[in-house]
Amino acid sequence: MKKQTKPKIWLVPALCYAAALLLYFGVCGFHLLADHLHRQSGQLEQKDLPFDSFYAEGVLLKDNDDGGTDIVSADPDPRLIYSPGEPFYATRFTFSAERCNKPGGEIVLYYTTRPGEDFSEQKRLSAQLAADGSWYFDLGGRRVTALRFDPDTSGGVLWRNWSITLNAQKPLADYFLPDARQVFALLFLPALLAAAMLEALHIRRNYLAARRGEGETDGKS
Amino acid sequence: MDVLLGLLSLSGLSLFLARFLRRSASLTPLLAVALAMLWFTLFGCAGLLVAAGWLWYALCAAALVFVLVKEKEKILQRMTPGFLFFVAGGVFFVTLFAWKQPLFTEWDDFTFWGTAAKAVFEHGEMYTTADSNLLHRSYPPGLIMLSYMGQFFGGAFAEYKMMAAYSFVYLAAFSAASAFWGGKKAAALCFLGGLLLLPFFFEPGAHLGQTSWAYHTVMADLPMAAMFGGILCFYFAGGEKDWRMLLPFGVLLAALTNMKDMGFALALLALFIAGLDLVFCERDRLSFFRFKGWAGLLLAGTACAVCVVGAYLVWAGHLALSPIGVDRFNLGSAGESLGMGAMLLTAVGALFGLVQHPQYSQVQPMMLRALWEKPVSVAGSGVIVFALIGALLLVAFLLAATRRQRRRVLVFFLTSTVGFVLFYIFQLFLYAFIFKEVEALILKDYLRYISPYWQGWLMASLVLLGLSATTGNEERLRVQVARAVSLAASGCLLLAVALRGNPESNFLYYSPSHYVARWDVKKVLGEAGEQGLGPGDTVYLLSQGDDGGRSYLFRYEMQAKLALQYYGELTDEEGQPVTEDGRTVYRENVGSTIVEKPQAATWEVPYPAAGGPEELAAFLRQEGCTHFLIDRIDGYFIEAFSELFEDGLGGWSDDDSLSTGHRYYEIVYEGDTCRMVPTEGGAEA
Repeated sequence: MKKQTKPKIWLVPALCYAAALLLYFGVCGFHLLADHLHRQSGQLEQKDLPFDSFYAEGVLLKDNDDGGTDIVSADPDPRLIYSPGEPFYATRFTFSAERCNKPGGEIVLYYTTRPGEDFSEQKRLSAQLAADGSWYFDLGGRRVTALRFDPDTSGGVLWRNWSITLNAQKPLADYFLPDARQVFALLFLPALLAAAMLEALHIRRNYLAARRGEGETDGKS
Repeated sequence: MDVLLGLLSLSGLSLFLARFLRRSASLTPLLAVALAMLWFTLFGCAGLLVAAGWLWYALCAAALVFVLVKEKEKILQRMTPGFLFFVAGGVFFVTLFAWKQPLFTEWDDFTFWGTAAKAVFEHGEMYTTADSNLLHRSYPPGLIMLSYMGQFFGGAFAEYKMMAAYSFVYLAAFSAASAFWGGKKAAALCFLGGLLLLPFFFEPGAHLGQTSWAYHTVMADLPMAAMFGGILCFYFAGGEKDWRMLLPFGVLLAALTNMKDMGFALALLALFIAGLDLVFCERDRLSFFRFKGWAGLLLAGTACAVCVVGAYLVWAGHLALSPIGVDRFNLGSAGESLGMGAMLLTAVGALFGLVQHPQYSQVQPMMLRALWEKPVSVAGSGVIVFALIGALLLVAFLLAATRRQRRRVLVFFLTSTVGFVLFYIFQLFLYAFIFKEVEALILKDYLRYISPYWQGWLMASLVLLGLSATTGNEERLRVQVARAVSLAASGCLLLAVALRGNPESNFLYYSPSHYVARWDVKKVLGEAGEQGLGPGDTVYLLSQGDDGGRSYLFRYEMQAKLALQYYGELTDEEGQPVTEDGRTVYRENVGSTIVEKPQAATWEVPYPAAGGPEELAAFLRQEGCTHFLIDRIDGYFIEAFSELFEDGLGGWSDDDSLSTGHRYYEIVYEGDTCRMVPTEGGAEA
């Protein structure tokens, strides 16, 4: 007599979703705890980075009439490279300015995690916009060796009264609120995994039955 | 939300069509999407677009009510995995884009696609007749009509809603491809999951930092790729080949023809592939109404061909009769205009070495090398994708349950390969005879033009493999192996995208720094609006340094009329100005920079010589400009043209810093010159 499998089938996606949520919040909690411990031990202190803490390529510093400073991109591939010598933990890299003279295209941040490593497209973050109009990059508390900030991709862009802050305090909600990528993954991947598991089980069951010469079970899974 | 009503209309129509055509509801969303595009196109060409919208929703509501009343609880049995994927996926995309509010950022979004859709929405008529700032108006309207359908009940045009409407095409195509799985939910979901990732498979530059455009572009290539693949899958997964399948197939082909000019070629190739499958694999059992065998086949083929050619001619006729008066049969290239027949003769002559054509001679070896040198997928070049397709079809062949199925796979391999060769030759002709030389010699946008065929080809191959997994009960071992290979294929797609995708720039995660230019244009228009910019004005835009990109943003945003840009007079070989009907003919261009030094127009520097204040004043008068809008200025313009401005352009700095002067001026014509008078207050743009 065949077992009643129907009640078990819905358990598979349910368990997959539960596991995904546990994994997600577990990772979020881990990041929160790690950042907290690093801050407590002084390994994750917030600091403002002045212009001379960077190695500048294609970026010039100018004094302005307001008593502050501007940065101007002198060519279409401007770079500000921060490499303090020792690896360091990084959560947020924040760039803000009072205003700029024209749109400059995408704002990006590259990072390296090993000494002597070249910057690459595989370790690249795109800027997100905070409510106060500043641009920030979320480095996730990773241990990095260098950062390369590209403020624009067009050249001739002037940022008035700029500042760069490393490791500004990340809001608690930002540790847990999923972005659209994570929402998509949480919706899509557990369902796909459950379907793949059920399909694999079905294939295995029918394959064994076929080898034994028995009739194929009901094709519906 | 209005787009969800659009989804509901498509879903209701899908269920009705599933009942009417006695087919799986996985197949019918694609037909519903096609019917929407064609319905609004036909009515739009007749100037009845708004009426078409009301009638569409009324009929779809009636269809939904009818099928619910007739089927009652049995309607749930009609809801196949593919249909549910279509509906749930549609809700997901609408919700996602309503949350993220993506904006257009690509060049072609503003040269045509986005601007056309906005013009249609705001004017309630086809973009060929709407009084908008759209310059190019002759592309086929299928996708624009789908956007209009989705936003019909909306209060204002929304860019994200257009992207959401496009998602219906992808979802419907993938749903159609999954039809052969029937009620096998797990297998269908794995298959659909793989297909959902398929567009990312054809983004070889993603892991190098290039933005992934899948699902958030409004250019036509990606939905056209999905439609082409969906049509092939509709044919192979569509079950019995009778009029209920073959006539809708013709409708789908018409819709594909109506999506982009390239759609015509893809529709003919889809017909070629399906036609030969009918000849070699279905002739004994097909029927088209009461006609069977060769008669039924020829009649069905003719009906489908009429659909394709008819769709092409309807749009061609509309273009010829509309105010823009474009001849769709005139294939213009840079500097020369060529009739379709003449081009074909020259092209075929060059192909067989009978005619020497310099650009063809340069492009042909590049196109051949591109097959193994240019990556078209994360797996590599076209040769590698062909090997993958060949491997899938080989497995499908070896695991086919019946001789008919094996013959089908073999015939498909041959016809699709011949189809690719024909398509590739067609692309070669485009580069050789239509594209400008500078664009042809870099095979500009090669991936965008070629990948629709690759994607459709791969989709259909996956379906044929899947058919081996779902046909026949005798060879059970083969069936399970085929299912395992199909599952593995989806797994490989997931792995490929996970390893080689771009997680930082895609439809889910896109930096707002791309939108700064959009916000900046809105800000300038806001300031100009405070200074008097209004809908009835004809505006000349000055934006020094612009190569066209910025003026297209203004073209999209501005409610007032944006004049063509001044680029100096067109001169003949002796350097004499060219006139037409007593009017000076100016060189065409779209960038809004006025340059100082005479330069030859090239790809890198598209600005020819410009004249001084008197020449500019003559141009403004001829174009009927009423106002002058300053976006960006430079030292040259201030020095050379400030005499025209009543305020002497005071307030503007010549070092492109953060200062801005007065934006908006009224043009007062005086004799041979004019005076720019600063405006004050007024309605906002």
